Amino acid sequence: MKNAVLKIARRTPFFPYLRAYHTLYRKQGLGCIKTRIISSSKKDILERRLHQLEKVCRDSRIHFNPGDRFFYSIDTGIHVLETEGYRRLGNLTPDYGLLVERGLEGIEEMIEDEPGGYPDILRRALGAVKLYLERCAEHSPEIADKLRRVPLKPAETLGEALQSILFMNSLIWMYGHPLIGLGRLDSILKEYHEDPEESRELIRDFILSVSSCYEFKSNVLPGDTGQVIVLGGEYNDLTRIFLEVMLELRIPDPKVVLRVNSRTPDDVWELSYRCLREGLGYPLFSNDDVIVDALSQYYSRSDALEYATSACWEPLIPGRSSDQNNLANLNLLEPLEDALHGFRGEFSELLERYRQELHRYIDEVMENVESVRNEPSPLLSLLFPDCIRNSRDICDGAGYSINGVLTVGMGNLVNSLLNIRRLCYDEKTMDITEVEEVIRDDFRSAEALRVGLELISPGYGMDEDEVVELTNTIIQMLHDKLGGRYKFGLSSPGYITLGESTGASFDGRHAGEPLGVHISPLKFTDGMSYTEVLNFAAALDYLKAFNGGVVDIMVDRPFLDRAGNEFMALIRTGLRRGVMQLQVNVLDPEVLLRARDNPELYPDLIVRVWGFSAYFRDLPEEYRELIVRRALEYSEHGGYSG
Amino acid sequence: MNTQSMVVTVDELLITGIQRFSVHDGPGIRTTVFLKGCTLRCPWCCNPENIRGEPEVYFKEEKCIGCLECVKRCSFLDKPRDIFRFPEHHECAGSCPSAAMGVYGEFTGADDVAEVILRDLDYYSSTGGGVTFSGGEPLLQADGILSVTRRIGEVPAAVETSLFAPGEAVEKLKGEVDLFLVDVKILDDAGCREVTGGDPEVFRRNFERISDGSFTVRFPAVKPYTFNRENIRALIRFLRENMVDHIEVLGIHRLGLEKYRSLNLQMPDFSAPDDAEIKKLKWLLEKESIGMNYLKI
Repeated sequence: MKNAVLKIARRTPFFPYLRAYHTLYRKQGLGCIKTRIISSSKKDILERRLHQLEKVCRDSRIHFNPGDRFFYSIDTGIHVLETEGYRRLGNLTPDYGLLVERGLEGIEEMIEDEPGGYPDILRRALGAVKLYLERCAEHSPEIADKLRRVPLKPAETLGEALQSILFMNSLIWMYGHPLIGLGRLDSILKEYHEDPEESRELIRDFILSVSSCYEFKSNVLPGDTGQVIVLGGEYNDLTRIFLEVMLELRIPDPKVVLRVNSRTPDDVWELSYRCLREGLGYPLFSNDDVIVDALSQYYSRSDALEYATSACWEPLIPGRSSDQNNLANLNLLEPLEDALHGFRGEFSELLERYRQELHRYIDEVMENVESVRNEPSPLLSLLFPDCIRNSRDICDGAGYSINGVLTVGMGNLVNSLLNIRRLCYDEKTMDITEVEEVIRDDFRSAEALRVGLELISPGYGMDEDEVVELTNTIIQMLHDKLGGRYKFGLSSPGYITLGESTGASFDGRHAGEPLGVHISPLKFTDGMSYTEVLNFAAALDYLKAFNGGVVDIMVDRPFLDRAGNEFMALIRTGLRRGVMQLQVNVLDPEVLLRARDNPELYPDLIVRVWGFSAYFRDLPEEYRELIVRRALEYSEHGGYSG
Repeated sequence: MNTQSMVVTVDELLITGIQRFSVHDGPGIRTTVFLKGCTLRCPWCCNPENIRGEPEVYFKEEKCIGCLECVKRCSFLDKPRDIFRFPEHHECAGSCPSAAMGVYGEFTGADDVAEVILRDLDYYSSTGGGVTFSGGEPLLQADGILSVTRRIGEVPAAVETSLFAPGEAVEKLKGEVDLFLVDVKILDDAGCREVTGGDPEVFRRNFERISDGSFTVRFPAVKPYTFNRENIRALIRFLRENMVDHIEVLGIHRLGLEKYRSLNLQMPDFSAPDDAEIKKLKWLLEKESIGMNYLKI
C-alpha cells in the first residue's frame, strides 16, 4: 500500500462492498478520521498523483454507444487508491463555467511559465487529458469531430457546453474524487440556450448521462453521489427546463438544490412543488436571503452570491472553494455525558460545564482531523482558476479553503437540558446526580420517566422563546470555539451511525437509538404543527451556524391533493421568515407501510435521506425504519384531518 | 341544553386544543381553536371530547405503558381504567407520564390563546387565512371569543357553528367575526329534535341573523342521518330559499373512534356515502345552480 501508485482493480460487487464500508464507517464514527501518516516529500506525491492520472487516461476502458448524443464514458473497474495518510478531496464543485467558456486550451494559456515548478505538473496533467481525449475520439468515430472540439476549445453551443462538462466530469469520477457537484448549471449555461425544445432534449440526455454509474458514484449509501445541480438564485429558462426534465425523468440522481429568495418567480415555485409532489425529495430549498449574508462574513459578497453547495447542503463557492465542509461530525451529546459526570450545582453551572466540555471535545476532534493532509490533485486543480493563477495545487487551497464541520444531536441536547432544568431545578422532583445514573442504566428501571421525558413540551422544534434561546446559546458556544476558523452547521448525516454509539440521553432516547434528524423535532407528536417547526427554525442564529441547516419534514401525499396550495404557501412563508434550508419527503403512508414489508415490490419508490434522494429499497433497514417512523408521526399529527 | 353549565369567565375559554396549520376550517392556512361544550348530540360527532361543557378525564388504553403511576398517586384507583369512576380526579389523571390519562379541556386565558394565534400571522396573510373557532359549539363561549378577537387585531376570524345557541351570542359575534361556517345538519323538525336534540326553530332564527353577512354552508354527509332522500330534498329547498349558491360537503370520518374509547363511550354507527352517491348529490345541486366542493378529510 505504501507504494501504491495505481491499482486498477475490479471493484467488488456494489452491495457487499457497501455493506462492508457501512460497517466500517459505523464502527469508526464520522468524528474520528484516523489515518496513518507516512513521510514522503510533496514532490514525490505530486508525481505519483500525476502518474495515476496518466494511467487512468492511458488505460481506462472506453465505451460509447454510437446512438448516444453525448460521450460519457466511465470505467467503473477503476479504483484509484487514496494516498495513505492523505485525505482525498471531494465534496467540491469545479469551475465548469471556466471550462465551457475557455476550453482546456484557454486554461492552458492561463498556466504560468515556470520550468520544473507546479505549472509543469499542470501542463503534464493537461497533456494526459488530451491524450485521453484523442483515445476517446479514435474509439468513437461517430462523435470524434465533437470531441476534437470540446473540451479543448470554448463551447459554442449548448450541446458542446454540456459535452465539455460531461467529459471532464467522467475523468474526475475515474480519478476517484467523491461527491463532486455540478454547480449552478442554469447560470453557467444560460448564454448557450436558444431553442427551448432543443435545450430540453439536450438537458434530458445530459441528465441521463450524469445519472449513469449510480452505484459506482455512490459514496456511503446508494444514492449518495453528491451530484448536486444548483439552480436558481437568478432565474432563466434553463432553471425551468432543468426542473421540468427532472420531473419528467423521475430519478433520484442527480439532485437539485434550488436557491430561493424574494425574487423567485411563482412558476419556479410551482415546478418545485410538482417535483416534491411526485415524491422526488428535491429540490432542497436554500434560502439566499439568509445564506448570502452569512457567507459574506467569510467570502467576498460577490463570491457569496455565487454559492452552490457541497454534496448535501453545505454552502461553498464553486470553482473557488477547496473547502472541506464535512471535515468532522460533532456529536453534541458527547460533552453532555462528561459534563454530567459527578456534577452537583446550579443549572447555569451545568451549562458552563457543558461549554467547557464541548470546547475540550472540539479540540480533540479537530486535532485529529487536522493531522490529515489533503491529497494533491492536478486534475481538479485545472478546474480551479485560483490554482492555475497561483501555481498552487488544490491540496494547498484554491481561492478559499475554509473548512467546515457538522453537528448532530442538537435536538437531543436541547431537550435533555430542558428536561434537566424542569425536573431538577424548577419542579425539584429529581436530583441532578440521579440523571447520570438513569441514563447510564438506559432507563431500565425508569420507563415512566423516560416516556415523560420524550413528551417534553415545549421542546426542540417548537417556537417557544426558552427553546429558541437555549438552542442559540449552544450555537454561541460552538461559535466561540469554531468561529473564524471553521464553519459549522446544524445538519449531519450522522444521526443513525453516531446514535448507535451514543448512550441513552435525558431526552428519553434509549442508548443506540438514532439522534434527531437535522433541524426537526425529535418526534412530531400530538399538538405539534408545521408552522411552529418553521417558526422555530427561522429563529435560529444562522449567521453563526450556516454550514448546512436543514429543516427536514414529511408530508402525506393524499393531503397535498387537498391542500397543495396551502402547503406551498407554508414553505414559502417559512423561508421568507428566515428558515435557511428545507427539504420535504412527500410520501403516501399506505404505500410506505407496504414498501416496508416488501421493499422489492416498490423499486421506484424514492425517499429523501441525509441530503440526497435515493431508492427506498436500496437503503439499509435502519434508515428505512426511521423514515417510516417519521412519516407516520407526521401523518398522524400533521393536523390533516382538520 | 346545558348552556347553563358553562362556567368560563369573559377572559377565559374552555378549550381542548389549538390546531395550527389547519386547512379545512375556512380559507387559507388557519389556526383552529377547539372550544369545549355543545348543545347538540349528533351521533356522528368526531370531536366527542368537545361535547360536555366542563373538563373531563380521559384514558387512552393504547397509550398506557402500565407503569401504574396513577394507581400509586390516587388511592381510589385499583387500575387505570377506574379513573372513569372518578371523573373529578383531574390531578390524578394529569399525573400520567405517558399522557395516556389526562383531562380534556383547560381554562385558558384569552391572552394566551391570542398569543398562539398571532404567531402564524405571516402564514394567514400569505393565504387569506386566519383563526377559526370550532368546537363543540363555539357560540356558547361568545364572550371568550370576543376577548380573543379584540386581542388579535386584523386577523380574520371565523366561527364554525351549528347555530344551535342563544340568539344573543350570534348578535354579539355578528359584527366581530368575518365568516360563519354553518353546519346544516337535519332540517326536518322532528328528525332534528330526535337525532341531535336541537331545536330547529333556534337554528332558523339564528340563520336569519347571520344571513346578511358572510357565511358558508357546510353539510356533513352522514348515512343514514343526514344523507337521505328527504333531508337532501329539504337541504336543497333550504338553500334555494336562502339563495345559497355554494356549499361545502363534509366527508365524515370515523377518526373519532379513539376519542370515544378514551371517554369510555360507544361510537354510534354511521357511514359515509360512496363516491357515486356524492356525485349524485352534486348533480342534484347543480340542477339548482348550487355548486359544491367535497372535503374528504
